Amino acid sequence: MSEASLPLDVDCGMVETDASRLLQAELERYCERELNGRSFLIAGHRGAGKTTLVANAFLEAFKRAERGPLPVRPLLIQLHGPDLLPWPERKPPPVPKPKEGETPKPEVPPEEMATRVVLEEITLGLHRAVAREFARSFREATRRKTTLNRVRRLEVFEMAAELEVELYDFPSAARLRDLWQRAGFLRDGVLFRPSYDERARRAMAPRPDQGLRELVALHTVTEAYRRISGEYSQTEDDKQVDNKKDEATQAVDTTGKNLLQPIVSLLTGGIVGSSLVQADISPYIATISGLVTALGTVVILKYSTTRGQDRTITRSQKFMRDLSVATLDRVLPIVIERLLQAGLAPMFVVDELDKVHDFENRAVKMVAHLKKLVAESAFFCFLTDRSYFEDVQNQISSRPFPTVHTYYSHRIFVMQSPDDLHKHLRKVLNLDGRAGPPQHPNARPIAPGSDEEQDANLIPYFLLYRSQMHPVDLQREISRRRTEKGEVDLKVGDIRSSWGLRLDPVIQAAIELVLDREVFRIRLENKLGLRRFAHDAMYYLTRTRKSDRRIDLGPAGLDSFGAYLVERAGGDPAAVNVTKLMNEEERDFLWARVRDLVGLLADRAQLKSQITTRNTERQARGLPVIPWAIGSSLDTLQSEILHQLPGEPDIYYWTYGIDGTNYAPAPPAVMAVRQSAWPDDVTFIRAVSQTIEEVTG
Amino acid sequence: MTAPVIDFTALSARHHILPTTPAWPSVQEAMQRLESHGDHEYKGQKADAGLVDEFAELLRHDSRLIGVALTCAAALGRALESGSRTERIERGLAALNAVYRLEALNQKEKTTTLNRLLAELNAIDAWKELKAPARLPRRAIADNWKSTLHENLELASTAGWPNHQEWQSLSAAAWQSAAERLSNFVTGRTDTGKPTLADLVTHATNALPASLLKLDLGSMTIVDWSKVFLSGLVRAYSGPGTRNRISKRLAHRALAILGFNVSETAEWLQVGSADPSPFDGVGVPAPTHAPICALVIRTGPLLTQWLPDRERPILALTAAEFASANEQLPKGQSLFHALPVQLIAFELPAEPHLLTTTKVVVRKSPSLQLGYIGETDAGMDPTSIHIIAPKKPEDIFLPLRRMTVV
Repeated sequence: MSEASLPLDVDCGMVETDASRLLQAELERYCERELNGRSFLIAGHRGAGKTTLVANAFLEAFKRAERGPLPVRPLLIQLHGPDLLPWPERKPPPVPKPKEGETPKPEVPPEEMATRVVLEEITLGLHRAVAREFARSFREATRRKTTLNRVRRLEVFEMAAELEVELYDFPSAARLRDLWQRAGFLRDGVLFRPSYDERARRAMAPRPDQGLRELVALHTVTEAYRRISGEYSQTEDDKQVDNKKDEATQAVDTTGKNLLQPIVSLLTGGIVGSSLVQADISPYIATISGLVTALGTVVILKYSTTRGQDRTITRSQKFMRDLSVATLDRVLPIVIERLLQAGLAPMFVVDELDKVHDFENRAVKMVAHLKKLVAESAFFCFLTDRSYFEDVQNQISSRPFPTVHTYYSHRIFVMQSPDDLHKHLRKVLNLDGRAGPPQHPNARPIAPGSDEEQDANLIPYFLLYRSQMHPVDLQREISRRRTEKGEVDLKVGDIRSSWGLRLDPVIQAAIELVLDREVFRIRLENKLGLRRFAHDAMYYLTRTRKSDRRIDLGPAGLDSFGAYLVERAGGDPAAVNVTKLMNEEERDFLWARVRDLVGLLADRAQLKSQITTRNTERQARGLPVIPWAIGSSLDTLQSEILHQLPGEPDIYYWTYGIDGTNYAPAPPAVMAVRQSAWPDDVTFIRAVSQTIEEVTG
Repeated sequence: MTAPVIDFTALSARHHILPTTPAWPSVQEAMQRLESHGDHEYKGQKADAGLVDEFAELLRHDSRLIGVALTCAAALGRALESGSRTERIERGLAALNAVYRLEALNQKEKTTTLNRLLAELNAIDAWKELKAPARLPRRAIADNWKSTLHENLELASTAGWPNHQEWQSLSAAAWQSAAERLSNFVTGRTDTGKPTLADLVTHATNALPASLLKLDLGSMTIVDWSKVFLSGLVRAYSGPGTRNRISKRLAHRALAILGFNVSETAEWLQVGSADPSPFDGVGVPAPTHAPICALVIRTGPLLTQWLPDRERPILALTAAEFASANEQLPKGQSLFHALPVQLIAFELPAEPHLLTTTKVVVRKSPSLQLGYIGETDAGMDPTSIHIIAPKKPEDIFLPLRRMTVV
């Protein structure tokens, strides 16, 4: 008999939910260039798996892009919320003293300053991610080049190292081109594998200029990075003497001078001479006078031309390019567009927003300023807690189309329903016998109709009960229960036999029955954020099972229950204002559901009947059912799981302790006598077993 | 394959005659520990003794049920044409579990159900001597329990039951019972009807209709209903009680349950036979107006859990089944056109020759769309058929090939 038998997948992965499927679908549409941008508000309690959700969506899209179906691959850019919105807010830089004659520059208003900080952080994160991606891809592309000899390969690797260093020193476009050209990447680039390109060329738009696209994108990103890395200004002096016009004038003058001057001189001289002849002056004198006049005219004309050449026009332009941080909001969409053209789809993930001081108010300003960029030009995920999510939901439900309505294209709350968790566990335990995620080498199919199969159906319920349906605790429980061989560390049959284990799946089934009741389902659908409280509420009774086994359903119990819920939210900033997340009416509602659970645990027949009814309904809908083995466990119980004592109307007691000790109000002497007769029992069991083998063999 | 053994695991985990709690392997371990330690106390001894006591008590309590179940199983197994006694009892127990869904019943309900069956068997001449063994006293293996059990199983092994006439009668009753269940299913009634002896016998012998139709028709998947359709069309299924003229009608209903509009398929399926059939009275579900009817070429187990959805008609066949179905149609006609189908989808990885063949078909019928179902894009839901938009004929297969390579 094996010590541990059930295969437990090494890669536990993420619990898939509707939210995760939506995020993944939208990210893939973004990578397919069907969307320009999306902004997701992803909320959940601490440890709900927000970061895992985003990371998983990214990885899935990345893998799909690597295989080929997506034309661009996502580029994860992680931003730290408290860096984006620091507290205290960063002060505007001091305004430099104006030089003489200059008008003083105005001080940057605080709101604009806050936006600048956000833009700086986005640019910084973008540059870091792009630099890392290109450096890695350059090395990978070198490694893939099988045609290089050893010396040449070393040379290209050296170039990769140079690139990695220089990317933080603002390399010029010429320098980048030089590296790409020398390494032989100018045509195909470095980002994509040749095999990808071969298929992409046939299936999608060809990219013969991939290398050039990469250079454009990389240069644009480094230029944006330069803007935030120091005082960066560029001036272009453009002095231009308007020579062309002068030359043209001179040309006309020259032509005029050559033709007009002799003509005018001669005409003037002629006129003067003629006048003198007509005035009966000697022709010689007239001729001389004419020549003198002509000469004088030439002199006068010569004088006039000289004056015209001195009249020059000079124009001077001084262009100071605005490379300040303030212009980043215009630059970033261009950066993103160029990255997309190169085959990288930036996916910004802003984490830890619940740690940002006064995020509710500051987020409004930030997103309002950057709405165009955030919602329409790129893919943004804002990760926050329940509190902000509830705030946004309240705004949307209380006012028609509030401004926050358009900030986030999708608002999702990360919370796993019991069905999500079961689906995940069935996958992890490979209960459906499907080929799928990587299995441990020792994993083997579970034989139908075997004891292992019975155990396997119960183990998800056991794990969920132990982890209290909390994803992080579930992963811990799985890790804790997994042996080196990749199996569950429970012996075959233990979960159905050991009193320390066998009640756990039963209680979990009762919890799921209560959660699945219509009144509960509707409430949770209407207020997603309440689900964690609901789950916590369902495990309130378990806490008492670990201590004095006493459950008080009276007024004192209600107070204790309220305190327990606050404690469960402890450590979470949302706990500061629990009443905002859950009002008194909701607390009372949850308390009523706890009473429902008590009702089920104190009445085996009712619990069994409800399991049967629910299973019948779910079977008709093709949904997984509560294992019948749970009903079988119930049948073998000698007492109710919870019992009451006379004279204590609102008080219940756990019959079985956490270690399986039976505290039923039965005479212990009877039990002791029966247990002492184990040799007779063993003989009896063996005899029955032998008889059955004889008559059937 | 190892021969089955009837032990406590078989009676609990496999056939649900005994409760699955406590587990027999744990009890065995506890017994070994107790015996190996003898009089020496050890940690956990109390728990082990408690477990052994619980199991012994359980055996005593259910000893009569064990006897009745083994007796009934042996009688049902007698209908098998061949097999050892153990195999016959094993098949009988499996039939009891499947037909009565014993796992969902408590011990009292199981006892009542099997006692009723024993009474029904007693009504048959060959079985009138079968007796229910008495409950065992505590911690004593009574001789009369053992001897009754022995006699019952000997009788079951030697009886000449059922003869040809009895078999015909059982078969007809099983078909009638199946038709009633189908009628309830089609009209949305959840009542699956009371299982009959005929249902049990056909289950034990894996004969029609039990080999095709589950008792709980709601749990039948697309693959199950596709097989029902194929059985009517191809007539490849044979065995005791096969009645092909019924299968045609059944095939017609199966197609309707899968979501296809069957108003035009009745003619080529030749449903209008003059032979009376239990399925004559079974209504046909109202035709759907689903935009796409799909034919999925199966290569693996991905579809085995998909339930029919009348909004998304899907017929799932293997390549061989598809070929044999086409052979039944007039020359030159294909299921694509007969159904008709607008989408052909492959379960990945698909075999290369299938892709080539389908490429030719799709080129001849440009209105056909192509899709795939891949494990990487998992989801046990019919919505996850990925339809490949054929922009250009030469592009149709590219994504599919790529996925196949991966």
